[in-house]
Amino acid sequence: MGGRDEILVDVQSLTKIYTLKRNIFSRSAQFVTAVYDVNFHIRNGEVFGLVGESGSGKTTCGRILSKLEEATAGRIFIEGVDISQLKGRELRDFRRKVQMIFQDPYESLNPRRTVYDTVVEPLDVQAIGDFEEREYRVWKALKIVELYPPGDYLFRFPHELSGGQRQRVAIARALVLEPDFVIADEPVSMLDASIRAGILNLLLDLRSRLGLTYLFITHDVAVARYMCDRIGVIYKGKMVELGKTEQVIHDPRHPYTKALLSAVPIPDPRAKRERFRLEDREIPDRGFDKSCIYLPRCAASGRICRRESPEMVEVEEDHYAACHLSTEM
Amino acid sequence: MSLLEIRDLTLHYETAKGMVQAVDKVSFSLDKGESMGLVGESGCGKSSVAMSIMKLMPSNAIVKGGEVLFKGENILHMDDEEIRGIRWKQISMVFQAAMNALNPVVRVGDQIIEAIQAHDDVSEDEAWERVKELYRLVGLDPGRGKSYPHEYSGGMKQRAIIAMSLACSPDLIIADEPTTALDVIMQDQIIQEVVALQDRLDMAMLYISHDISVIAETCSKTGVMYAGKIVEYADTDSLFYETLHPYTKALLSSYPSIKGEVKRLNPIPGEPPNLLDPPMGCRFYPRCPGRDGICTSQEPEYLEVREGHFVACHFVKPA
Repeated sequence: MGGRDEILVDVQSLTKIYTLKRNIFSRSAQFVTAVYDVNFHIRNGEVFGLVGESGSGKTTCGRILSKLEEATAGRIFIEGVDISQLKGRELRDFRRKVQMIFQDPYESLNPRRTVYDTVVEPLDVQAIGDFEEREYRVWKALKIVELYPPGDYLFRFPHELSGGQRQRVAIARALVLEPDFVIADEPVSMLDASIRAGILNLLLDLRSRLGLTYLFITHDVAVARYMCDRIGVIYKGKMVELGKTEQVIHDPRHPYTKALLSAVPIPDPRAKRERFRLEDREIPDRGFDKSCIYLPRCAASGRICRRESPEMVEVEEDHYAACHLSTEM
Repeated sequence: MSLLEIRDLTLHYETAKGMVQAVDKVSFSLDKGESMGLVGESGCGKSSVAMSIMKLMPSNAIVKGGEVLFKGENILHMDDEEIRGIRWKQISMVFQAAMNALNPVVRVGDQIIEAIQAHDDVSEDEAWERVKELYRLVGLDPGRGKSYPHEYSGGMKQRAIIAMSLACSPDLIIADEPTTALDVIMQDQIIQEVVALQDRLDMAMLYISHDISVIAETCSKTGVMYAGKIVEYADTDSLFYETLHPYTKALLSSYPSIKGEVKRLNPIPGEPPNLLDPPMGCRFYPRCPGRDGICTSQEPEYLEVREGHFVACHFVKPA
């Protein structure tokens, strides 16, 4: 892989439109735009966060980046190669280099397989090493995720593990192929705080030890702040703000980011929060390109917001917002 | 006399694997108009405590001891008839996914009327008037009472459930993770609503959550539960600023925040104990950084170490 600061992942105008099946209630097909014209890049060794509420399209982005789904439009380059064009050997290499960690360790592990079976499977699929080599790699992966000593865990089933241990097994399975890029989709949202902190620290430590690059998908702004170098805020399938984490947290420019941040509870009874005002207007849906998607909820909208959808503009160095009024606010 | 007083409540669940010692000698009291948070991680027994206040424990629950006194009467000894006079009318509850319990084919307003008429002898028209009033109270458009649940967003449904829980003007409302299924902006609006209502209607509130930041912002007193026990209890400000129990300290330092410096989080090593066979002595000792010999053999007493600040730890003693 290239050096630090080099762009590893480059997402250009990513769009995903789902077609809902026709049924007896609707004659014509219906479309749902899950992701629309999303652009971002991730540098080598970086943790990039996608933050948004449920249904914002953040998971869809992750699934397309890992090639679990195909984009409707737009292109994704990893190490300069368009991933939609991958075939044969290259595709197999991609499947080794890009790994995913899912939200729910109670569902992502097969209940009938031991820890060893689960973690060795990617090596079998990729036909890497002989039996001894595989055993050694599984052992090493379990050690890396701090399931120690590995021998105590190899032949356990998921029901014999706690939630935190299961998520560690899922991480070991992702790391056993020594990937470069890991997509973590809400990896801690099912875990209690005391266990969650351990998984977050582990992911951060692995980044520096193994030189990993992460796409970290979360709804939790506080977790995103702890984990990410840069974040993108996504609302109804569109990226509305993008920048260095501290820039976005301390000086949000998009009204949605402001509202989101002002709604996050603070673990401090003396903290005073000022709520950013939100509207709840009914505005007839005239399609994506006409008006700003945030218009129905925006307290500050002007006439231009009805006419044109705002583009992402640079509001300060490396900090972008898609709001016509972002420079005035 | 306190509105609610729980004394040494001990609750076990009978399972195929044995007795789960879910709640162990829990005591606290709640006065009229007061708000208390009960915080703890999954399986710590906080919901079991809530269910015993409503006498809604599952059939395999066995009350091993203690009492739940509501206005001086022990709820645990009430028969079905007596408890019906209390539930909903005097104590109501908002559950975590309560919004999913709305009947999808009945208008939301009619479902609330049903609840009102089950407890109060009022006419259909009077009940409708009350629904409209309740809708205004929780920030819903009164006209929406005629809509069906699928026409509501998640937050609106949860508001309607809160309206329903207020229908009979209860003295105590128990909110068990009422916003956990909602997005953060909606969660914030609902919490603001609940706090404002609790204050305006002068109800007592028991707010149960796994999230210390939500508790920090909503409740004047807080109890921290671990493995079936309350390990620390104080007014919320002291609990956060003069924290005494090692579990509370560890829990507070495992939460990230968007305010202040980014500090490395401290996970708590290990896992909570299996309550089929909890450790002898202090239930937290296997994970405690300050443990000593006495912790493994002797259970720490739950003591008032400062005025109104209770702690169960061998190494925190009254001044």
